Amino acid sequence: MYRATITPGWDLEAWRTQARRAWEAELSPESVEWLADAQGELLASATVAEQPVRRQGLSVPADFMALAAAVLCHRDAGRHALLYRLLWRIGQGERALLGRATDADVQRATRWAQAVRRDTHKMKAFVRFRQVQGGDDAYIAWFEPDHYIVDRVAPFFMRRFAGMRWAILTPYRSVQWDGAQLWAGEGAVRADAPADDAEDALWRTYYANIFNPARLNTRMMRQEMPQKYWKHLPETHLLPDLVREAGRRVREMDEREAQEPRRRIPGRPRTPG
Amino acid sequence: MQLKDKLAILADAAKYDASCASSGAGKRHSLGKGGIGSTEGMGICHSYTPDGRCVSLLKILLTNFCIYDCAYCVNRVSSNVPRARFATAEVVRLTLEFYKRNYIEGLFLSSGIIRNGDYTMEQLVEVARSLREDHRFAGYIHLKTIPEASPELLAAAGRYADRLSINVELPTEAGLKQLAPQKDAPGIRAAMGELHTRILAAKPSRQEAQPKRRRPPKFAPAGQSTQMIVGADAADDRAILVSSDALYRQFRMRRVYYSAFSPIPDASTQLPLRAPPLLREHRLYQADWLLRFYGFEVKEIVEDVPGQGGMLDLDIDPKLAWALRHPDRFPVDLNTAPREMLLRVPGLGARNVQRIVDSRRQGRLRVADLARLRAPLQKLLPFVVLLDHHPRQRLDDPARLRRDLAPAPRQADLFG
Repeated sequence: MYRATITPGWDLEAWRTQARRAWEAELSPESVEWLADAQGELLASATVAEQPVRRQGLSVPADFMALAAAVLCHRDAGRHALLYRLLWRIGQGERALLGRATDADVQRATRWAQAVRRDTHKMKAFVRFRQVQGGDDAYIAWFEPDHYIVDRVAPFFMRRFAGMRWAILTPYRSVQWDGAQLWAGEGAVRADAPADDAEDALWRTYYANIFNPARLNTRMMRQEMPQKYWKHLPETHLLPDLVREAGRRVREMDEREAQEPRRRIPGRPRTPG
Repeated sequence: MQLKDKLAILADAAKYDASCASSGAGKRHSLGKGGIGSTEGMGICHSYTPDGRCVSLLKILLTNFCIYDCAYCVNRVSSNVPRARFATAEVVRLTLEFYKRNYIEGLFLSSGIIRNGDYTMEQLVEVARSLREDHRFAGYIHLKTIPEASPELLAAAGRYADRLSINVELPTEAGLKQLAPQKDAPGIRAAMGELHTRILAAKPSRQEAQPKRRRPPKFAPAGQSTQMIVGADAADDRAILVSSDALYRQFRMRRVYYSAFSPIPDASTQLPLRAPPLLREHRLYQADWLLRFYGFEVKEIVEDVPGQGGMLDLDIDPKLAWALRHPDRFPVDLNTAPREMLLRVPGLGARNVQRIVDSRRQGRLRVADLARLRAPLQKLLPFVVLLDHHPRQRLDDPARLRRDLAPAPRQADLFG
């Protein structure tokens, strides 16, 4: 076995370098052990990088690199090996492999990439910035993504909140924008971010009032906003009450007799009531 | 009145507008511009309320005072709901502070008509102007457009907003006359036509995209949309779909929203006693998708089926209903059929059709391949042929097939 260490484990360049070396040394997928970060440093096996070059590098279709970039963010420890197996098969002549949605390897990679894209999309949606106390216009958010996506989504927050100073903290990594540059750093704990924000009360008011009790459909809500995200969202504290009261509110609307207008309407005679 | 109390009233008053879309504005960001905000084409839902609806935009009315008396509307002049009015600066403040906390993608601002159309439209435009110019806000803005507002105000609205919308409200002119006597159907259509012309003119054509030519001024890059209320008047599904189809064709609407008329506080006696089932709204959306993405025509979706009187089947979706009326068009061989026919197979969505077209170039498809695409096999298999599958006589008895495929009846009160 030969080992390939990818640091950090989600990094496309790091994986690409190792994969190219393994390909050039003609190391088959079965003979390479892929490790994330420094966990492999103590192992005695030979590294991929030490192996002699036996053939030319390989050019792969552009959609493979896009797929690889997403798959590398998946938390499954087998992702590096899966990508190398795909690369190997493409290099061995299956040039159109990625078009075969029914192939087991392609299917797994596609599913992992989808999971990463979904996690990324949900992070864009459910991160909540809280203003730092003390007059500064600075904001901090705490979030717990399922996959290693912080580096992947950080540029989105940079483009969106360019005029603010902000940080997003997660258990495995944090990222900061100072108005000019993005900085990545180590993981944090929840207590490092403010627990609430003065604006939350207005937001809850909006949330409670934009809800239409006559259309209660909590199954749909849970499908799109899974419960694991609720702890990040100030508005979800209201859910038990909103759901419990919905039936009563609708019954009251149904049972209420039509009322005469109480306001005077210009140009219309007031009907005696 | 406190800001919080106004927000409660003016959000409550806005919730009957179904649209919350924040897509289609193209790419825009705030790097190096001194403000905040971005749009990247795809909309983002920042929360979901217990009605299962997405919260993407801060959707509020500037005021719920209104001089009109539309029977279906919670804000009609003769309703006794509490009234409030935001100052334009208050809407700007709420939008920016909510946006900074990543609660929203932007603003959807609508209003009751106060004084007259121009006065009201001026206020809406002022909010959008202040966001864009005073605060360099690059998030999404959707403005409700008042049909009788002057062309100068329309032009300004389109300059600041990503999307404009005018609600057609009811599918037929007769319905509008009956329930919204002060609204003017030809005026609404004329205003939609005006928006359509301006949106088209602002789209850079291929020639104009060349750097030397001056690009036309921006106008509502995310286009226009509209909304129809379902079940408040007597219009059947056929009338609704004919009307939507015309709106898509004439004005290139990005979306027609269907809003099942829902119980409102202080309802008018002119309204029907019972709300239509939400399932009817769902079937209309499915039919709308068939019109726009699956190559169906209205007359195919709502055919003269005895006993159905211009209504969509509530038990099964409109594509399955079509297939059961046309068993002679099936089975479809997934390995050889053209894309247009794949799109007509019940249970096959546009994305899986694409996957099938891609996959079958590399080898003939079997049932196991379809299972890997996570296609609903139970629904699909009676209608398709694969290398190792043929439905045999299942298509000979559509009534029985329908019984097999219709979902078990759910509790009646689930859909109201």
